[in-house]
Amino acid sequence: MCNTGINKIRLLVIHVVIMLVLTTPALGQNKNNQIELTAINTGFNLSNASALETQQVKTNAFQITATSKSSNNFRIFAKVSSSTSSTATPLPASMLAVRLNSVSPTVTANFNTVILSTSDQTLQTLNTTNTPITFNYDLLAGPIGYSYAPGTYNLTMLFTMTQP
Amino acid sequence: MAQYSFNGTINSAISIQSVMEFTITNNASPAITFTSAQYGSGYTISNFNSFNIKSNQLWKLGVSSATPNFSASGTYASANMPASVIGVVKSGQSSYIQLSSTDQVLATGNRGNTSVSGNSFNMDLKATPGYNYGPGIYNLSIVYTLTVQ
Repeated sequence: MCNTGINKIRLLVIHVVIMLVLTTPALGQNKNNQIELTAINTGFNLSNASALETQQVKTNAFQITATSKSSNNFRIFAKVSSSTSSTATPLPASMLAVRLNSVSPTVTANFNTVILSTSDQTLQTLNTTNTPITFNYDLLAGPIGYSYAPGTYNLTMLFTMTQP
Repeated sequence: MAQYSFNGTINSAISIQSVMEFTITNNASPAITFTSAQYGSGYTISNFNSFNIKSNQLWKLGVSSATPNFSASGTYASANMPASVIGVVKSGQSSYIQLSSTDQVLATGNRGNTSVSGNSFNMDLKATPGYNYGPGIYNLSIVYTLTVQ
């Protein structure tokens, strides 16, 4: 009798521990918050003097869909996490900038141009809406100028959504 | 308090093509009327042309004549006056390039726009016909070619 009672208690403790282990990640990252990125038109081909001398804009170049079901505000940051090139010299992160073109559903958002760097720049600070918010962003490049040799330059933009 | 963070990436590929462009400004009349002394000593026009070059590659500017000889008109004109009667030099330098229909390097420079040192410059022209060619009207087209070094 005594052993059976102890075993039941042990089993219950194990169950409780297992439940805690399974539910801890789901509380924040997978269940309540999500950021989804969609690249639509993020490439540039600079083939003449005008293209090198003026800032190039890809309208609605990419989409960020943020979902936050928690009760807190959330923020979205962006930075250039990698810059490589087929030449000896990669482009600096500041060659890229992003600008919100539209947002759905309508919320109060930041439509200013944000020049990227290698450290996080705040794109948006919003209240949680419990529904997905889709941000359509323009991507701006340059002016590149004549200092960079012909070649292909790849920049990776890292977008981070945080919630306190 | 712990902060939840979620992220993702988007790549942007920027393809930069070879871009080279230049402008020429004529600073003086290309029509030359020689005095008797100038047939032998030559007629010099300083800063005859100005060049402004923009390039994202190391560049060289070549100069040549469109034809080996001048086109000639007039009763006494000679059909064989060669392009080498014309010499050109980047202003500030001393060795004239005698023109021919073969491209010769007038100047070289670095990648950059017109504000980069050496990408904007002038060219002097000197015509020395001598006494071997008859009176007449002579025309020659000068060709400038910008290429990668």
